Amino acid sequence: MKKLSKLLLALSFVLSVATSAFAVTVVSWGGAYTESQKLGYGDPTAAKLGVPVDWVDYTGGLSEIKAQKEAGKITWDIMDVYARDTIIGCDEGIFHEFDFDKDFSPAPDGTPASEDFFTGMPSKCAVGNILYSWNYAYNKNNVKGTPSTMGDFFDTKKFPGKRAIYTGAMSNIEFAITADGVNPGKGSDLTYRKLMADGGIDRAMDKIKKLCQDPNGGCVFWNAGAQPPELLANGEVVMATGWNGRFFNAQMEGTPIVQVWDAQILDYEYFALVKDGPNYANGDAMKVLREMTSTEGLAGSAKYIAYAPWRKSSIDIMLAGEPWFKDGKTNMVPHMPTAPANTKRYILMNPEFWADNNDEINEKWEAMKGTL
Amino acid sequence: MSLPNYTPLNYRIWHYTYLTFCGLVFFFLIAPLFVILPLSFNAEQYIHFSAKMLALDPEGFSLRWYEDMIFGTKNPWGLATKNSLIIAFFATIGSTILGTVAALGLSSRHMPYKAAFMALLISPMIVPLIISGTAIFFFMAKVGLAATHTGIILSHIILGTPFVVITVTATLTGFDHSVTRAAASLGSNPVNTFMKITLPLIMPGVISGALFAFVTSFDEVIVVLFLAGLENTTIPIQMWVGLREQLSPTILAVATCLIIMSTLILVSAELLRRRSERLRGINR
Amino acid sequence: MSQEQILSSDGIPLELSLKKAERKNKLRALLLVAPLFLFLLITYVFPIGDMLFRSVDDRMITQMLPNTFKSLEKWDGKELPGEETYEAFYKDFYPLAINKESGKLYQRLNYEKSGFSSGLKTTNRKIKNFEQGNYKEQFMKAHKIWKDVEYWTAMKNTAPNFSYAKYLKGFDLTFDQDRNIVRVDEDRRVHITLWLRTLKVAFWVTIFCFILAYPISHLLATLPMKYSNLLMICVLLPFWTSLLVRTSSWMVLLQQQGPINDLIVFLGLASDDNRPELMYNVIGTFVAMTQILLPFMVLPLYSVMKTISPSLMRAGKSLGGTPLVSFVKVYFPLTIPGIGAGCLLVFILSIGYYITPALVGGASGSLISNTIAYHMKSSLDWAFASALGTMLLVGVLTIYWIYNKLVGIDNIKLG
Repeated sequence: MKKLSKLLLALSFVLSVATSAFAVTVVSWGGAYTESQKLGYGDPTAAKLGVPVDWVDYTGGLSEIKAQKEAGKITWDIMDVYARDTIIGCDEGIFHEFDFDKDFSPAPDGTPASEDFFTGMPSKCAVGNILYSWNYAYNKNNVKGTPSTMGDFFDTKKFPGKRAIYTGAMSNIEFAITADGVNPGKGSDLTYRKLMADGGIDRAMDKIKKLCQDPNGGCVFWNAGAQPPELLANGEVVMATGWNGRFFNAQMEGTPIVQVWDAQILDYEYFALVKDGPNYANGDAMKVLREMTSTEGLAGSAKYIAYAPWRKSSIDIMLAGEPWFKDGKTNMVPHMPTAPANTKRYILMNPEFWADNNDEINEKWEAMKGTL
Repeated sequence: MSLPNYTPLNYRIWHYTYLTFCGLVFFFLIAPLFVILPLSFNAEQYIHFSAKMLALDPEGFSLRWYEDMIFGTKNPWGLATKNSLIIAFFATIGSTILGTVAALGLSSRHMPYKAAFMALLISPMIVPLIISGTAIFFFMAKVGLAATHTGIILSHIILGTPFVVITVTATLTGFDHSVTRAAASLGSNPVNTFMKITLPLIMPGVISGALFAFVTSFDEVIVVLFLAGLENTTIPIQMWVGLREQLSPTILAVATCLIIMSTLILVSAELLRRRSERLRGINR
Repeated sequence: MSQEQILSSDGIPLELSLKKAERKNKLRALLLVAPLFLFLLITYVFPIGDMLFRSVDDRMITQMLPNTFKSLEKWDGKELPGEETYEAFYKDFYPLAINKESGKLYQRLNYEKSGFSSGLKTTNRKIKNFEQGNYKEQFMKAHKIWKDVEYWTAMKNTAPNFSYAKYLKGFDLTFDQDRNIVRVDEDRRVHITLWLRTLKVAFWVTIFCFILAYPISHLLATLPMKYSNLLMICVLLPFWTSLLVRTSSWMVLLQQQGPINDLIVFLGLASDDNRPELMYNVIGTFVAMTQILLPFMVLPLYSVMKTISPSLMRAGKSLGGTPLVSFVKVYFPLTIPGIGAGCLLVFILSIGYYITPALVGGASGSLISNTIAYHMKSSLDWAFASALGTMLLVGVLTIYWIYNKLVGIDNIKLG
């Protein structure tokens, strides 16, 4: 009897391993965003192609995939990455280089893929999926007054209380230097020029350090997209930077938060295909990626979260189908990062700046955090 | 513990202060665990008490997280549970066998360099887990066992054996070796003696060591965080991800189940201990 | 005392027989221990040694850039190296760039001197358009680091096959131009702070655990069986519960708007606008770790106290001592082995703690183990993670050695 149960156990274990090896694994940011991807294009793709698609959460960066490569066992097929990571990953041979028009489907009217996407890709290894934004939000029940500018985020006299900021340097130093007086206008490169000048980074980091050490202020560091709305909802912080789509979803669920779009950082998000992933050789990963980034695929995700799809043809579908949100009542376009009301002052994220300087800046950043 | 009625007042004050202090400490120990239970029934998707819950409004409570845990397709709790059980099962068997055999050798009065061997064999328990985790990860990666069930099982055997060694050697210190000599004189070979005489007598120690090893493997977080791939996800990994990244109250539902499981293990460990005391009483 | 040899029944001298039997018994004992011993040797001791090796092994870079380093051997380090060095570097770097294998180079050199990463990445992209010859000029045009002597010096500094630079980094020291040991820039000096913070937290957690555990261990040891068993549940249930579960309950309790702060406001100890910050700082780490490690202090104390007969205290009192005096002179010294074991266990566990500080400690409550994990998983500076791990291991072993000298390690009981 004991032997039989041991045998059954071993058998079930073997079976479980065997069946999951065929699913294509997509790695993304979790929470409401992954939910929107799964429902918007993940599940439809899986149904259409007959290939199961698994979703795994991560918090950004290439460390995990590099560690997998180093350990000799890659388990991820497709990754949803920051722009700078597509550049780094491409340079280091982690990602597959696309032949764009061949690998990706044209628009319904025949426009080749490379022209259907808004702008060019930052690297040969990237295919865009959404446009999103780093902005900040506050809990209207906890804040007296109406914060409306980036300067207000750092103003602890007018708006005392703790803030939540991203755990890495990215986004923080852009916000800090804007609050310190560098006006980004409409996506001008002044922000990054000032940062690259001598002492620019130190100037930004000092502003953050002052905010964190301020007795009327204080910082909590978030690293997962789901944290900012949670921290605002449970009152741990009064203001939080975060990704606009997550704030939007929290608002739709009833959390009393208000978004502030001044000096938002407009950023693009990409998919990359991992070289030598489990489904790389058999082509399933590429097929799944192609289907997910098609016109209908990308438009689908906008039903569930306020991120703008990257294809012109997808936006057309959205506009024709408004109200597009899953509840059937809300128009999505006004909530997009690109809406005119939200783009009075904005910063355009510069991926080359981060691809080149990420290591140095993060070393300083971690040291600063250690002295808090 | 009532005091005799001739105790002076200052002794009484001292005594009751002491009891109150102890009471507070016990509360400190146990209360945090029970905060989780009501929260796992939170109807909203946040891990703090909503206003409705505090007002004891029935609308504030729901079983949705338990449903999500069992039936939810997004979170691989089913896979994690399966993996945790499989890994813990094999790790416990490995630890118990290796540990018991080693303890037998260590308790023999002929064992040379006993202290040195003892120190080495329990070293995984005393070296901080972060160091062990780092070292084991590099090694497993080198031999190609990273992200495999086998690699994780081996690591947990490493971490579990010290407990078995300690509990079995403790049991063997009270062991009367004359029974083995009696068995030998009656014609039994060593293996037979072990199986029929020694093992039943030390069984409580073996089982309590096995329980320790099981719990060590089942709850282990750090080494699996480094080693596990997608297919090897375990309950602690999912909880860690849940706490750091997803913040869904489903982990509270899981936590509640784990607390119930711990209580059951505790009860069985206690019953075993009482049984062993009864047995030893007979043997003395 | 006969001078003849005593013979055993088969004619062999008794001494020899005895020795043979002894040897056989020793061998048997050793054979029983062997499987576990060998297993641990291969899968545990060896990897730890490997980790130590990894922290000093620096051969990768000379293997990646053989020509460059050979050329750098002749360089005097005063001014920029000559054209041959640039050409040698081109010969080494170009195939790496084309085959996309230069990633590890960026990391390694960037640990040496900040700025290498961006310089090399830019150069990587431009190197495919280089023409033959005139390499020095082309490199300097590609990125400004090639004009800077300090970068070439930093590269030359990585030449030795084995380097203890990572250990220096663990103490916030580094090599400067001339291989002298100097302190790192002020804004990078974070590791000494972390070591001190870790030791401080471990020390205070141990003290607090001791203060809280001693009375309840005494109570548990002196109460009659049925009561103490019931109360023991309060100690054992946390002990058997997963660490993550316990830490998550603290995450709930310590929130700004959480139950504990609610209680504090209710008792009037703080105003509602000015709630104390209990989480994402050292306080959170400290409180959570104390509760989590308390059972580890209670169990050894309890097992020792259980062996102390109550008649000893009564004897002390009957000899004229007040309860306080008999406690101090009789009871307390007898519990020292338990105190020692408990404090040692709690201290060692706190030094290596990772999960709890990571979840409730925030940035200012993070300890050295969090840094090790950061370098393992995020910055991928495995050599540095290994160095920190080795330093921690040496520290722990030193503490054990000191403890052994003072108290004796055989007195550890887990109860």
